[in-house]
Amino acid sequence: MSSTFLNKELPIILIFATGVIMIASYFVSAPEIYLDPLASNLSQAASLVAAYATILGIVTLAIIHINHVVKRTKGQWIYSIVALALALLMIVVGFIGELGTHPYFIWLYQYPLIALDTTIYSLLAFYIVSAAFRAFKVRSVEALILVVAGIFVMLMNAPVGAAIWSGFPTIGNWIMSVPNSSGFRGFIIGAAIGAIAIGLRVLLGKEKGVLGRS
Amino acid sequence: MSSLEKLEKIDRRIVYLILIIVVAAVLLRPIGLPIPISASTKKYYDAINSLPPGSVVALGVDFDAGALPELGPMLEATLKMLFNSDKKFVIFSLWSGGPAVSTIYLNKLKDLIESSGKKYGEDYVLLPYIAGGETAAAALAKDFKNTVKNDYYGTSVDKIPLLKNINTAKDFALLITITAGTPGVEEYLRQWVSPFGIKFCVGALGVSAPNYMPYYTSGQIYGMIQGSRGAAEYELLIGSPSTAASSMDALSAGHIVTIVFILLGNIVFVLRKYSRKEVKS
Repeated sequence: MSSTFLNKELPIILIFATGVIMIASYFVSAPEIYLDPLASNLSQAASLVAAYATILGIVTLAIIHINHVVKRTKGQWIYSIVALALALLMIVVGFIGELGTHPYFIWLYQYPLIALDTTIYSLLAFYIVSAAFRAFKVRSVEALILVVAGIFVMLMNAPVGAAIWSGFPTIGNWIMSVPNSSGFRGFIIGAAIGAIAIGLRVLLGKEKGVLGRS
Repeated sequence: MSSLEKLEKIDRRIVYLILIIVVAAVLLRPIGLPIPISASTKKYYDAINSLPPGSVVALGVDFDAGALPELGPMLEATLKMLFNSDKKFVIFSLWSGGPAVSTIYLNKLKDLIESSGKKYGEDYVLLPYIAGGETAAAALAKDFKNTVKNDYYGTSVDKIPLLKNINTAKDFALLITITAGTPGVEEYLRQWVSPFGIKFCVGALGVSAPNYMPYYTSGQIYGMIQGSRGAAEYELLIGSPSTAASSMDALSAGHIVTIVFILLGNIVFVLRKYSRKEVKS
């Protein structure tokens, strides 16, 4: 078999066949040709591949950090040791008893990990206030509309809004339900049409990016 | 440097300090502002409440540690409502951190579970993380038991009485996802709601809620809890005010600080613009 067939034609045939089965099973029910079980098996296979991809991710991360430690990358290698040690700790503790259910694992997740993760997430509040002060300037009519809409929606979300004036939640809800919804709907429809176009190009073998660099 | 210029170039650490002081002050001395219930939260509550006894709810815990402060109270309140009701439920997750988060809340509600008389495997079940994003959502919807072989504790799904009659998404009376993003709302809409016509409720981050509004206004999402505010409303609806309700005054304070800084920034901007014009003329 030629390398062109193995590298290009066979993957395109597989992509086309898989794509047609999945699309057909979404729109039609055909028990005579076992379409649903076939599509279901393909979905489960994809789920398995994704699970293995997680392992690949861990391996890649480990390689990157081991390289930093070996090369003593300035300003990085100490953090790489911390990352590797903590990843190893979570993996080892996760394997004690039933996978990921041991109280030690839950403790590690509940106390250090959640506290660290939520701290990072909460920092956003400070950046948002600082950035709003510096960048949210009324330089044009559009910026003015944005600022006014933003303030109404913020006062709709916080109970203080309704306490100041009962109109804030009403107007805020209208902004969310009408202009916001219609704007997002436009994005969603545009993105969906784009996805259909890209999907068709991939199925027909016109989009070669999915085949990799070779 | 003029005073306006100084104000415009204020050290960001002062802004951070003001925010900390205001939020901390309100947390320590709550004002107790009333929390009106929004229509979307009421519909989320009604969706669960109106289910016939014995109905099985699919509860997707699709978030991990980072989103816990905002989504954790929604999950806790949803679990409280389900444990206090005559409904059964299956917890699953398309996010790797989901099962650990669920375990934390199930441990927290141990006393309630015991007093409710609900039995694991018969009334509720916790499934492990299912990898694959949208493909996993599709696989679950089409063939639930062949996609998840065991529960989170390693018991085969064939030995779990609650899952005996669960084969596809059609076998659930309601789908709920409490989600921090992708995979989440859109994946379920495409793979569960459109093909199987299942009723769908969402618990979303405040920042994600505007993205989901088109689906809510069109009716594809039946009820939606929007951020901490929605979680507080829901806690009040189930009669169990907790973390979210107690943080509402702090949320109000944070929003007011932000609005004050936006207005202050704009006042300085306009005054500087006029002062520059005057110098030129």
